[in-house]
Amino acid sequence: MRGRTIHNQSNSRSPLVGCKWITVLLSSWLLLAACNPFDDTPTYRYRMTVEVDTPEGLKTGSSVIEVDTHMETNPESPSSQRINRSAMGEAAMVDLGERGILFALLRSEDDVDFAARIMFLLAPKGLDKNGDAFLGRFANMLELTEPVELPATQEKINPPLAKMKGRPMLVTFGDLVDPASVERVDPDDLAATFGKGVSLRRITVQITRDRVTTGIEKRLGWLSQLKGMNLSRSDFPDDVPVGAFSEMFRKGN
Amino acid sequence: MDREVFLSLLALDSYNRGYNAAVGDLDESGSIGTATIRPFEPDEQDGWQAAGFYAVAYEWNGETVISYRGTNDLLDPFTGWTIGAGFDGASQAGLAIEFYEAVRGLIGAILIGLSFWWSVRHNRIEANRAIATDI
Repeated sequence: MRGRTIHNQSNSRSPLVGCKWITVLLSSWLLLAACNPFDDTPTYRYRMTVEVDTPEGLKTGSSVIEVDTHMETNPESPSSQRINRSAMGEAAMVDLGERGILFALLRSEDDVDFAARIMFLLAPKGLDKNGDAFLGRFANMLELTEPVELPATQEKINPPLAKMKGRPMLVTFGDLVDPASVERVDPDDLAATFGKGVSLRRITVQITRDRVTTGIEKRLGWLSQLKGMNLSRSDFPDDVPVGAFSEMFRKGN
Repeated sequence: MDREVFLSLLALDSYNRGYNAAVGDLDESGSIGTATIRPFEPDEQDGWQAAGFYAVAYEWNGETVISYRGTNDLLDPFTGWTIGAGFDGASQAGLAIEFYEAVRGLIGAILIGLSFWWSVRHNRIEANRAIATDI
């Protein structure tokens, strides 16, 4: 190991070992210091619905995703806050019969946090009663109970990152039991993957109180076993990120 | 660029990629400067967000550099800091060891970016026997 190194102490018992509970208490205190006790951001759920036109008619699939948002304050700099978001749920599936199954993932092509962020980005800006822009927009987001169509890019909803994708990444599998048979699907050209006459009509999201969707493992039986399947990066297509492959389909539940 | 400066940039870079990144639109592949991001293996990041853990490795001038996020998450006190007092079951420590072992085939790994440094002996990170030093 190069660079700055730390040398091992002797094998004798470390005095720190006897201080475990002090550390736990200290950690708890620091945790409380880092929390914003006035965090007014409730957990929310939204439904993502994918609509696909086929020669046999409209096919749809949807999934309810839950998002937990918390604001954290840096104890060393109380005016400095950051927002952490995490999503729980699973990809939306559209069963296209013999053509295969289309999956709208919990991430986009360029954002692993897409599912946790997209509802907020869609909300109109505004201020809450105390003039807080974040909480104002958050409150506006909770009002989005009617379907909102996702844009192709974030040009109008997130101008600083205008080129980022506004829709989730779409994939399908050549063989559902083989995760390495995953294929990217072009949202603007579903026919290239699923055949003539198949196209994406739209993807919508809306706030809901429905339960978080579960059960995707019935289709993707390898979800909890991918690490044991002895697959490597080179087994997958280059254009599919695989570091958190399973979490693109199911996260937090 | 000065070596220490560039390593510092790589240490910061771990906060700019992956979940809850400080900067948007940065991929977890490709390169930064003259360093190339080591591709992640399938499900290598499984459970990282749940534990508040993140790391990324780079190939740089024939060396492997591993950049770990330090304290940046509410989970850190429970899944990370407790390793300092001997709770070696803390999940961040386990994930850090696992990731190190996954990339250690490349001799000369430099561990950077931790809010404390861990020693490596017998190919294992023995955090409870290391002297912790703030960066």
